[in-house]
Amino acid sequence: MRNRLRLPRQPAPAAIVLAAGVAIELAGVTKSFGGPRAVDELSLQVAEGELLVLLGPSGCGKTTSMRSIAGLETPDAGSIAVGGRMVFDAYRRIDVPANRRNVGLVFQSYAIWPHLTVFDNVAFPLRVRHLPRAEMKRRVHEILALFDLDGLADRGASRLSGGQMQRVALARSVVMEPRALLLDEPLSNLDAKLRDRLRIELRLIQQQLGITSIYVTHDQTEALALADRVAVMRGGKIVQLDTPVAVYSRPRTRFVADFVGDSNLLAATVVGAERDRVRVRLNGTQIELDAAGKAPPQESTWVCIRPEHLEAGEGANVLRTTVKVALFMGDHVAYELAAEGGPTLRMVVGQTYAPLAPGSPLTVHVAPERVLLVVDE
Amino acid sequence: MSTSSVALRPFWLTGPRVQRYLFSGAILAALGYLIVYPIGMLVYASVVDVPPRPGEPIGHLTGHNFAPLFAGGNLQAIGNSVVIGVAGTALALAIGCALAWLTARTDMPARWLGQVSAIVPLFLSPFVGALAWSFLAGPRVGYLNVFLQGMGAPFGLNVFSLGGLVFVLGLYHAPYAYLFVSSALTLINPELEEAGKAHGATGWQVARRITFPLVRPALLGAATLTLVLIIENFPIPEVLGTTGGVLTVPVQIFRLMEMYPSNPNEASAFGVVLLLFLSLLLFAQARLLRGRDFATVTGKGFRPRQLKLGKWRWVAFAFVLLYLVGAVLLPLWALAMRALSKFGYFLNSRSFVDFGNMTFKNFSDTLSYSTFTDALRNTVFVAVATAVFGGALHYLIAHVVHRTRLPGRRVMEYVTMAPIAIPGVVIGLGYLWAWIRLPWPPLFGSLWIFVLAYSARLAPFGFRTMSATIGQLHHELEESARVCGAGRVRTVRSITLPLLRPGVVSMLLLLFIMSFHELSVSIFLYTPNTQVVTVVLYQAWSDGNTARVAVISLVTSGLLLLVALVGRRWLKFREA
Ligand SMILES: Nc1ncnc2c1ncn2[C@@H]1O[C@H](COP(=O)(O)OP(=O)(O)OP(=O)(O)O)[C@@H](O)[C@H]1O
Ligand SMILES: [Mg+2]
Repeated sequence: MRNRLRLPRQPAPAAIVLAAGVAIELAGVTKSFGGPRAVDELSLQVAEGELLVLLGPSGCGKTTSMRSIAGLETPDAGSIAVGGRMVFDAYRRIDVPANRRNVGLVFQSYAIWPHLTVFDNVAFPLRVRHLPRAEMKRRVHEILALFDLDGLADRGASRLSGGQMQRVALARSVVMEPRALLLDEPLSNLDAKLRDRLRIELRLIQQQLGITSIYVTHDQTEALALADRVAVMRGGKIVQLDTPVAVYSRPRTRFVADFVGDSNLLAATVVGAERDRVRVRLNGTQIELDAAGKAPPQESTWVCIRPEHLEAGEGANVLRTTVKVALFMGDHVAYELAAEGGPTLRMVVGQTYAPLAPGSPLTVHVAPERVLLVVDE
Repeated sequence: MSTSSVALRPFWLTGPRVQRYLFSGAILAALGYLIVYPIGMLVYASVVDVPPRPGEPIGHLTGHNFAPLFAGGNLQAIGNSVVIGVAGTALALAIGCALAWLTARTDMPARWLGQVSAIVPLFLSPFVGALAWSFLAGPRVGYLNVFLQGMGAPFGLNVFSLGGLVFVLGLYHAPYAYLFVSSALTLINPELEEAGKAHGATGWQVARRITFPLVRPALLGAATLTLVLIIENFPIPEVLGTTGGVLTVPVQIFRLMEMYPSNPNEASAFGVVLLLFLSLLLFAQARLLRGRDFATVTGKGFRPRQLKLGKWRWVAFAFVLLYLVGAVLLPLWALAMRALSKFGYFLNSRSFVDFGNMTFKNFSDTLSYSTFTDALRNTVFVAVATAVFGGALHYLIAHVVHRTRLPGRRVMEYVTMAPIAIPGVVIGLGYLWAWIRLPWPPLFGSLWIFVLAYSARLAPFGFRTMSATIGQLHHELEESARVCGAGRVRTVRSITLPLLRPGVVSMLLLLFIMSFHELSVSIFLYTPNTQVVTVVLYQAWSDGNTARVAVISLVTSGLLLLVALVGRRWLKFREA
């Protein structure tokens, strides 16, 4: 309640006129359950046909955002438009009920109705829309075929495997030709092998049907693999919204660097800056590194080095280290290195040589373009 | 709904907000009508100096009605209620816990019989049980006493005593304790106990240090509920205590209304005191249990570890059998004996098998007694209407409380649960004051007043059962219907109700059965043209027509056992 009152009582500006090609638009969406805000002035645009992944740790507000778009939660403030239609606007008191938003939502629990058959589950959205029988049957069978479920049409839905339920849930959301498809951790209940296969299938179907989708996960590999763009969330806010490549290779904050991919994160101080080069010293050590790019706004910063960007041998940014642990992982070797007078570093090396014994000295370097400076947020 | 259509509508009808308030308001109004208004009238009657009857003046405020409560017969009744409540609860808990533990956690033979024995007394109703036991263990002529004398025993049983009251109350309240504890026992993850074993605890240590603390909240809940039920019980002390001169508070309230001249204001004041006492009890229990409800943390479907009883298996079995005999078989036998007997008494043990003594005339007499047959028809109507309309309201409230964010839903929950602390006689009295004075709606003198009063009295039960059922349904199952395009009504019809059907049917059956048993409320509300079966039974008893008592008891019990038997597929018991 208190949160709601502090928000400006005026229409959210961004959402008044929808840009062409924008399928989902959130502007200043805020929701609190009485405590801190679960979703905090979230603004977001998803392009037509795009698959956007919402990535963030547990409790950061991903599910709440999805449910707000679907109409299952009423935000305290902000506006939501789907497919060019305003479905929620706190200021103008628009709140289209969930059943008239035509947004597909795949729940984490799948929510397959156990008292209905697979066919009836998938046919439900068409039945409530009073589609003619023949047309309805045709569409359902089409979709069942698309999801490889034709053989199961008359099976009771309580007797399905996890993967099959997942497909039924998806088929049920897609059959109604939704304006947008929301997927809330759709694969998290499945085992790793099945997850890998379904992930590919899902992406294929999404591209084939061209459905604008938001996909929620807290699995960063899944996010990077699937997304057209990734929105990294934290505490109800989006901290970075970029292509997977950009999020991985140019994280904006320490949180993003840490959450997406593996990284060596080291506190550092800027000691000098030129036009396109910054020199930093790792805090508490004498180690100085060159980083490509502009100087960060503050003197204190964080250095992020991906383990695979450390390379053995001499070059720019040389570090003298000793091997602490070497783990042979099959296709690569993971090292934990103690840098001289300094921090512990992780390094990943393609399997070119046998792992070094613990205690061996190892000289490594990292290219200045690979030394990422991120803000501490 | 597009932006423009919103702008065109008048401000006060904009959006679903108004509908939400209207909907909540309607439910709250219904609850106010059912529960708050009658209790308010009772409180009003307790603080004025004239009864709120038609034709009486408004009266003046006074505190005098409360003064005589703590003196004389009233004080004695309070003392009796406390003693009987504590002792009866102890007995009910002992029997109920033993049954629960034996059936859930041991290798006792025929454990299904234990489960059945613990449930069947619920269908027999405490009222019928008390009547049957008055046949069995009345001084000297009680059937058991006849046997005892035949065997030359130097003592006799007397159920018309404090001890007799405690015994019968305990007997018929054991099922409530059983339901509480057995659900707690079956919900404990056995791995918790196995972990104790693995860490070196003996079987006894596991029971004492792990199992018992885990079921303690359930035990405390069972104890409080049983205590409340026993203290508010009217039929058993009325039947057994009146004869033996052991009055309890609900009986005393009824007496104050029945005697001539009656004393309605004092009766109301007594009702208010009882209500406050029970509320305090339940409040204390809620405080004690707050945040400690961990017995039910885990799901279900465990295969619980079973203790091997060895040669004690048969002792356990004998205990179950003994309970079944005492609570069900003996009473039914006594009722049958009395119903079939020409003279109504038995000289010695041989006369129980003397077929020359037997007749079906009692049956034909009672079954052609139009007051009874009318009452039976009325009762079926009232019980069905209560199950349907009351059940619908209970379901609606449970749905609103657990599945919506409508304004005022907390208040709804409190008001719905309130009757758990309101004794039946208090509801009866409240309804009497609430409707006797109003010319419209003409509820008094119609059967609908029973439907309303029963719906109010059974509201906590209906609400809790429905809440438990709804709670087992993952909310996403309903929400996915919404996002698939189904409206609220369609969602409830196509998804919620089909999935909840077992739970809903079970609740309807139980509401029907409980309505059939109701006496404490009905005794205040009937008129010569609107009698229910329990009232006719009560009158037969107070007229001393034991043959009719026996036949009516047998017929109604048989009917309800039949209903339970037919509906047993759906019947699911939970702690009330
Ligand atoms: N119905 C609710 N009542 C109260 N608090 C809630 C409710 N739903 C969510 N929250 C809170 O809002 C915050 C965001 O929850 P949300 O479910 O959106 O997180 P999430 O990002 O989906 O997490 P996860 O990855 O664990 O699913 C959490 O702190 C949660 O406790
Ligand atoms: Mg979630």
